[in-house]
Amino acid sequence: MTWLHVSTAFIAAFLASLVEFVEALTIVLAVGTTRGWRSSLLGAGASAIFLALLVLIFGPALGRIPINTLQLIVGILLLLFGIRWLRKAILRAAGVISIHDEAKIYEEETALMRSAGRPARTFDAVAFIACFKAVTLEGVEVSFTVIAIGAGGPLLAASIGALLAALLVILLGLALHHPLSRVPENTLKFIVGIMLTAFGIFWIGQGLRYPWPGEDLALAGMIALLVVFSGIAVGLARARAAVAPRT
Amino acid sequence: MSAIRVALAELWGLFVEDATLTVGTLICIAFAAFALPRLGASARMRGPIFFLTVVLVLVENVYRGAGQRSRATASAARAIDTTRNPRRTPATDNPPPP
Repeated sequence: MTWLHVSTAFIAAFLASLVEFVEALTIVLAVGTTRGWRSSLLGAGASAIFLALLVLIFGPALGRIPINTLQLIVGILLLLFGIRWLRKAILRAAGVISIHDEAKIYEEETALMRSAGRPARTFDAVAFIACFKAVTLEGVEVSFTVIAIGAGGPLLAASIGALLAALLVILLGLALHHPLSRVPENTLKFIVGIMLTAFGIFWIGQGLRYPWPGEDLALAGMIALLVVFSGIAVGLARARAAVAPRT
Repeated sequence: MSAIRVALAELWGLFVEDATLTVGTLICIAFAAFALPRLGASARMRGPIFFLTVVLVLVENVYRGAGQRSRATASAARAIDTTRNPRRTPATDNPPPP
């Protein structure tokens, strides 16, 4: 395992986690400001404990699977996960589907929470469940990404990347008390989609015991080529969208 | 029971959004695992060929998806226009040439 592999794993896990934590923060902020912080933070905290338990239960089980089988399974899941992100990011960049807007989601969630009636004084189940669900959904994606990226060895680097992203988002949330709508989320999703797709393809190749030309350097090469092909795909999608209504 | 169903649906949604893309990607994996060795591709070329097939599937899917999306948007806009102006129909908007 080279420094290139470790640093790519760190960056991919950091950026993927950053995107997911920003989305979770938007919901927690919307719920907390409308229905009170106590139950909202309890929900988010309970979710963090639930996720930690999941990792503690399933994490050691992964160590028992032979490395090639693990790389193949994780590679397939990572490729399906990453290519889904990349497809969406390409369509967004081409203007075919609307851009993800944290400020709009914050407003919608705030309106939804206000319509759910007056919050209870002691324990607000609506706030607790809303925050628990939001953090769990985004957290499962973070846990999966970290485990999948780190499956071939750089698990520590991937975990540190995710932890730093969590700390950054929590600190920014505490300081700003506002959704992080200025974070270039769609650009981040584009980069993450490319990195996860490259990792998925790389792990599948490793799992099938196909030697990659240049070994770990192949990962950097695939990321560079995916940037080029994604740019071409954006152009093609844009042109197709402009022509399609007339056909 | 419904909570488990919701959780499973969310888990499924992590990996599958566009079924054709998922199926196409899985076919690429099966091609790399079973067909490439039988076709006599050298071991060093199997990874790059697999990479290129995945890229092709992605670009084709995005191109097709862009066409479908914009056609759907255009027909929705026409439907709204027809509702607002009942005399104007999509047929009368674009009359056939004489």
